[in-house]
Amino acid sequence: MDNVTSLRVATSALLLALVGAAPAAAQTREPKTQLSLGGIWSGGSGLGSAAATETRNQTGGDRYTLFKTRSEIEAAGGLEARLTYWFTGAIGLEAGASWSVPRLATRITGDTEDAPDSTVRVDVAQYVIDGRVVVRLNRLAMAQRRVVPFLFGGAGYLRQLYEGNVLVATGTAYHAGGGVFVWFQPPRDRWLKRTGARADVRWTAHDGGVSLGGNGRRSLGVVSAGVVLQF
Amino acid sequence: MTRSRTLLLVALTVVVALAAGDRADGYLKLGVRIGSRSVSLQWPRFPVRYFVTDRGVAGVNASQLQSAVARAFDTWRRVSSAEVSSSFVGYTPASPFEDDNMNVLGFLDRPELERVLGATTFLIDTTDGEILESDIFFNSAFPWSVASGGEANRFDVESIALHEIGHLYGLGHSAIGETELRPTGGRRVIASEAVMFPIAFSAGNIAGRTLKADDIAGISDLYPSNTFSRRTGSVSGRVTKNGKGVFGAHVVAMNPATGTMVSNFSLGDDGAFVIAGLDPGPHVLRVEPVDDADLESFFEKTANVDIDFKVMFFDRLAVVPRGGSTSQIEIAVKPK
Repeated sequence: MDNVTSLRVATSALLLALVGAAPAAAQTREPKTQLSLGGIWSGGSGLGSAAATETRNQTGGDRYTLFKTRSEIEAAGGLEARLTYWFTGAIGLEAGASWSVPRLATRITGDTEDAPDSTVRVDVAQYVIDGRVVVRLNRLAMAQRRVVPFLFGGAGYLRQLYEGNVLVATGTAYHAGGGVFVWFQPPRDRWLKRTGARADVRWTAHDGGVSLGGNGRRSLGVVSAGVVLQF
Repeated sequence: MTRSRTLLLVALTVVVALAAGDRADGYLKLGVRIGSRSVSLQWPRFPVRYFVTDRGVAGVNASQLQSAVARAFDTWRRVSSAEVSSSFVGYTPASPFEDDNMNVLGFLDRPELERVLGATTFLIDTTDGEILESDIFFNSAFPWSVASGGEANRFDVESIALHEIGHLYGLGHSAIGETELRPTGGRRVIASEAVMFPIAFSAGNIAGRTLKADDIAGISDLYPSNTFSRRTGSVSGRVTKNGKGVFGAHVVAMNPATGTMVSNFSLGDDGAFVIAGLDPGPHVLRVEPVDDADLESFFEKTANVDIDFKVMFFDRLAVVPRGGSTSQIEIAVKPK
């Protein structure tokens, strides 16, 4: 067994220990369906740099740089909705959709004819539809099980539309992270069984979508928070 | 059919200015005015059948000239987004610039054109802009070479042929290049990124054998392949100053994904410009006055070209759609 396999086994054992310790009575009372609505904040991610260059007259020399650019997807806020179905007291499947409008920004510097440095931008409407596995870490629940941490991982469809919908870029969004549910009350025997809040932090990798050259892959951090309704 | 000999461009690869008296109606595509409208010069059918003169010069015999010319023609043919082709017919004792229903490429001794390396002439149908005949001459007053790696102090036939054949197909000059004034007069190229830049690289340089993005966009716009219009897009708009259109502004679209540049000029009194053949995606737009070559390299002498404004960037990224155009862009420049 190599080190990686050992680590995987250890991690799996830890997860089982954390999720498997919930009391049977508590598991039966957990509502099965859950709707989350909230906001997200996506961090920025660099898209690399490029230069407008020309072939020099003398052979063998470097290229003549007219100006340089550095591009990024800027941080932006958005909205998110997630629907979760808990198969057990610890394991659930979640479908989600998010919308945000980050800006693609290109910083232009070093123009040889003294054009002022500037940053030019365009809005990009971003939609992500994804699915994920959610694992409640019941063993780590606190405050009389009103605060329950969770882990998740999944993937989804990424669709990005440039301003004016003149061009679409699609790709795959992978993500993994963790967060916490905070319940405002114990489950009740009503249609709306429980309300609460959630917050999570995730690492997201985009494969495709808006990219400027390279392999089209970029990663960014995303935080989200919102209300949770359990049915 | 009205036929007239129209000398459209001379001194297209010169070290400096154009010969006096030549009319240049150049932008991305060569055009000619027919009545009140302007039409692009185009070959109605391919392949373009050409002859090569049976005379060489010191260092380049007729066979070597033909081989270099054939390589240059083939470089244009290999542009996958364009459909052009040529066919070598044979050697001829005829000279370029004769109205003989033959497309002739060859050397001519024109020492009085002391800054002209080569030139292209056309016989056109003035009713529709169809090219009926085109000749190219290489000025034998200069030293020439066909060495594969170039030859010091000798101009590369293939590079100059590539430029002139671009004209033969109907392309005008590009302004993607930087120059400096020579103390002795004229201009020297510092750098350029278009074979169709009007001033040639120095003797011994063979960089002009490779087409650039601007050249490829130009030939593809003129003779598009089946997929060209679906795979690329364009950006259009106006360049204005104090609310009025600017004629002759050089607008460059730079792709921040690749660094490639494709350009055109604002034409017309309203300052309208169109840059076609762009890869889909965001582009940086840069506007500059034409200051790296003589205005006559690009425009008619009577054109009211405005060069009194500062270089600047459009304040938004221009997103080029696939198979479409982004329009309604207005770039307001400021006087110097």
